[in-house]
Amino acid sequence: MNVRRTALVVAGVMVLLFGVLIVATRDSGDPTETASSPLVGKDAPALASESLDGGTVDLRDYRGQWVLVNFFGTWCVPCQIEHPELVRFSEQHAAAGDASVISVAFKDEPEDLRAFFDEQGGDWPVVIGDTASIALDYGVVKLPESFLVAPNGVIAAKVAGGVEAAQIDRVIDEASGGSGGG
Amino acid sequence: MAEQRSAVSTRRVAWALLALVVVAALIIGAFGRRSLEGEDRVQALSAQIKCVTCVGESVAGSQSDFAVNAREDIRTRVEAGDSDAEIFAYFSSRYDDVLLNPSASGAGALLWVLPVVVFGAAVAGAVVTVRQRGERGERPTADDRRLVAAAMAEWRQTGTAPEGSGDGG
Amino acid sequence: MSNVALGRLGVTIGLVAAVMGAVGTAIGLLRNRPAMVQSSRTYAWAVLAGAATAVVAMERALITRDFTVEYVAEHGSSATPPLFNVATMWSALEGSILLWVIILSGYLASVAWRFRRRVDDHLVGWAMVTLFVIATFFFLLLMGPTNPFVGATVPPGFDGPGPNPLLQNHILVAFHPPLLYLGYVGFSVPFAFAVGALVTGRLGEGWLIETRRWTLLAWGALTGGIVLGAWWSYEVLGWGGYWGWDPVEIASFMPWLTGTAFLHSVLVQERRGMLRVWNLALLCSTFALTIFGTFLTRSGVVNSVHAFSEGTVGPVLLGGFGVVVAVSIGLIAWRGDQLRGEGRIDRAMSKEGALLANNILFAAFTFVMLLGTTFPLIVEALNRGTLSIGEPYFERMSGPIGLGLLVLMAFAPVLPWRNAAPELLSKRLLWPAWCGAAALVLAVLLGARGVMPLVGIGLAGFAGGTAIRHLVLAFRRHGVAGLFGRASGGMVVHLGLVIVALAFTVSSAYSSNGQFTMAEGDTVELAGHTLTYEGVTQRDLPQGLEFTMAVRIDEQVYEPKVTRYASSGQVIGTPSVKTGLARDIYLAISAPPTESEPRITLRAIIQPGISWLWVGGLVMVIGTAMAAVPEAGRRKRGGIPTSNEPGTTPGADRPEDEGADDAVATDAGTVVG
Repeated sequence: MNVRRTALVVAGVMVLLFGVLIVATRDSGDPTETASSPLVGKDAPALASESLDGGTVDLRDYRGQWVLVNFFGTWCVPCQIEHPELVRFSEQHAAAGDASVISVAFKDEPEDLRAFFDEQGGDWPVVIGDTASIALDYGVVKLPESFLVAPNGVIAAKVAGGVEAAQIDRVIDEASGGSGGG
Repeated sequence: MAEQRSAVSTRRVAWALLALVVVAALIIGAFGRRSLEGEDRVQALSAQIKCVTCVGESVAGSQSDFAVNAREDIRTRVEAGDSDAEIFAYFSSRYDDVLLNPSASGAGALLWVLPVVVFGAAVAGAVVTVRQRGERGERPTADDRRLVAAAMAEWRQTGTAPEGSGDGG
Repeated sequence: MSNVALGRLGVTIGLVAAVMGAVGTAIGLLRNRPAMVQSSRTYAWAVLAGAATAVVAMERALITRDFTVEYVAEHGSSATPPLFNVATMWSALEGSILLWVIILSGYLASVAWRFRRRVDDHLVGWAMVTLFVIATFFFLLLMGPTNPFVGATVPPGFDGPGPNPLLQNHILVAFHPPLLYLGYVGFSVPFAFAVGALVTGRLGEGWLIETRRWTLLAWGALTGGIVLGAWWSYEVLGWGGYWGWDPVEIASFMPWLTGTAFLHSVLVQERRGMLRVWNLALLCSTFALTIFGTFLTRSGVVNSVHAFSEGTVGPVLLGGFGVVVAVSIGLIAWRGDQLRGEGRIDRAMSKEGALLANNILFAAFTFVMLLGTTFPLIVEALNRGTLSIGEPYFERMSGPIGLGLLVLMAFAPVLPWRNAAPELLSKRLLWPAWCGAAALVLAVLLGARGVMPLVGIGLAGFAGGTAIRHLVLAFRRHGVAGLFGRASGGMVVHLGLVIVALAFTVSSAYSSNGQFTMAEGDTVELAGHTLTYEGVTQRDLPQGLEFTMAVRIDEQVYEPKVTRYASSGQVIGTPSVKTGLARDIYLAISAPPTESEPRITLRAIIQPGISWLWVGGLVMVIGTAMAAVPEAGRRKRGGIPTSNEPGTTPGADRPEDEGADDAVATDAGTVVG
């Protein structure tokens, strides 16, 4: 056995490994606007459950318009920060009626939710029933997360973290333009 | 010599009997293994699903919100009679990269192939080394034979037994 | 003097002493100035004094809740119980590096003291230089990237959050990390001597023999640390498991694997003069893997490779790992010519053949662990998406390797060196094999089913029989003294591992799980046991609100607890475990009662034989200690023979060793006949 040759081979392998690890240390670059999810491009999972006002919300009733399904909690700080953006998005589209927001509250009490919406604004439906399994259906990892559902019921994009109204509009515009006007 | 031979044949019988016992026990043991049910199956399944909000933990071992929810969901599905494949398919249709058992396709294939290749190479290397060296192994030279003869002569003269008289057992 | 100032003073003294020790000793050795080499002892003590001062400062700050130290403000709290307050030192990154440093300094001073009459020996001198350099590296970490002595200004009446709640509710937290680090850091000593041997070119077996007990100490401590860690997980984490193949566990397991491989292959080198390069490589790998493991667990790289660039400690540790690897490879290549083995393996069916197989299996095991932990990083780094590897992968890979190791443990100890006649094996293995068959039959009679677990149980019984056979023969030959020494101690360790393997197989294959939602007074059944929920009591603790549930199982009351921590809002359960020789019953609360839901969710796990895991671990540690005692028959000759001449060839037969070196397994008679 030639010790030196073996050492050379081992050294080569180690250098290669280091190269990879150094590649690994560089930054991933700009954060992408939307997050990846196996659900993007697929039909949105069923969402029909009890809402805060005592009725039921069913995503299927919203066919024909864009829907932003927002998973949040009143106890979650980034959710509180993103809330004004949701209000802005909702108000901008209220007149045209081409887009709505549905919020899904996670681990919350009805009275906290009412106080939150009274204080921060927003009058869209809030789902409170069976939210843990809805969150799992949508592959939610960490609050807040939002899913943009196209008029045909297909998930167009997922946003992990706080949303911005302008960013959602951009995604809607791109999707509408790309598909030849929807 | 005769005594030794009978000891050898007794041992042969003992080994044969041993083989019989082991095979019989394994055959009995191979049947009647209950398949995992209920909570045991929930545990086994959740050990194969990643806790997406944790570092290096499965859903089975974490107390995070996600893990608790996922376990509850698996429990519901197990009670509804879903198959393992259906449950895995549900999670992987919802989450990227959520199964802890990497698939054998794409880059993941390397994970299964590399250890086998490396292990095979190591065994082959060891076998070749042992064999080469074995072939080069020296035959006794005239000097060696002379040394043995001298030692034997000394033994015959002094009556000292060669060291080590065999195994105590 | 403020604690920050005192701590910084200690770290500075330690750093300066380590640098001066390294430079001074190296110059003394190169220029042949014995006086300079002699002074390394003084520097070693100064390093220890510096590290001890820093630890005293940190502990004083923690005990007096001195929140002007940032580390205490972030991890200490007036609500933490006193014992866990002391243990808070190793509950976070900066403090754990401090723990590393004090243990390393302790080893450095012990080596300086142990070899005080041999300081002018160049091999010892270069080993000291190596230890000083390692100490310098860790003191530098304490100066910059992981400085535990950063000042903080806090408002009056401030109270810290305390350590992670999981780290303040079980006594094992006070012992597991120090023991683990004693093992991790302990491998620095044999590594340093390996470097010394390579630098001086005195590559005979002398240095190996002289560091044998240091290696055993490190290995025993690492073994104990890993087992205590598993026990802590089991008692605290609330899911009934003890080993989840997570990166932290694997980081401690990898050096254990290479260290174990070394303890075996070193026998071949001492006896036959073979595998020199391999042994040096194993020692260097073991030390490098301790650094790599720290990198894996402390840089955040496991979370995401991109989180890595946020701190500076990751790149520094990776750099340190690179230097260790480069120096090791460089030195081994440089001395390549002298490392040519002199003996040869004639037959695969011989002790050296079996030890070679052992090393292949351990190396493969380490490779699988390394691949499993780094492969997801590589995939992510190359932007090929993400990939998760966990328990299913590690379990499937380690199962066959574990069975292979059990087979070797059954055979190898009875094999003589050089060549084994089939008739001899048949004679020596008969009773151990029957032990295995008995274990198998007993398991089947007790209702165990399934081929894989049964094969595991049978092989474990076989390996246990082999170990007991050795111990019985050694006892017959030398009395109680025969049970001590390397060969017999090693067999005690084997016995401990067999117990661990049995407990692992049985508890994982035959556990029963149950989860129940119960209102007060409800009764359920699990695997023949009756569980009744009797009620809940609440108690205000300084750190939060504690709920205690009373659950009666078979006339015994269990009291699993849940604490809602005030500072973090985290809800941490304290499982209630009743340990038994036959089985453990494990109760944990998944959901405590709330105002809207008075029912509790209870998790119950019944695992047979699990307590034997800890017994087996203890037996392994005791066996390691027994192996460190000089062997019977050797003691009178005044300790261990040392050979410092280059290229000493123990491959030549040493007949006087036939009885002592391997009291039973080596049979002079069979070599002749």
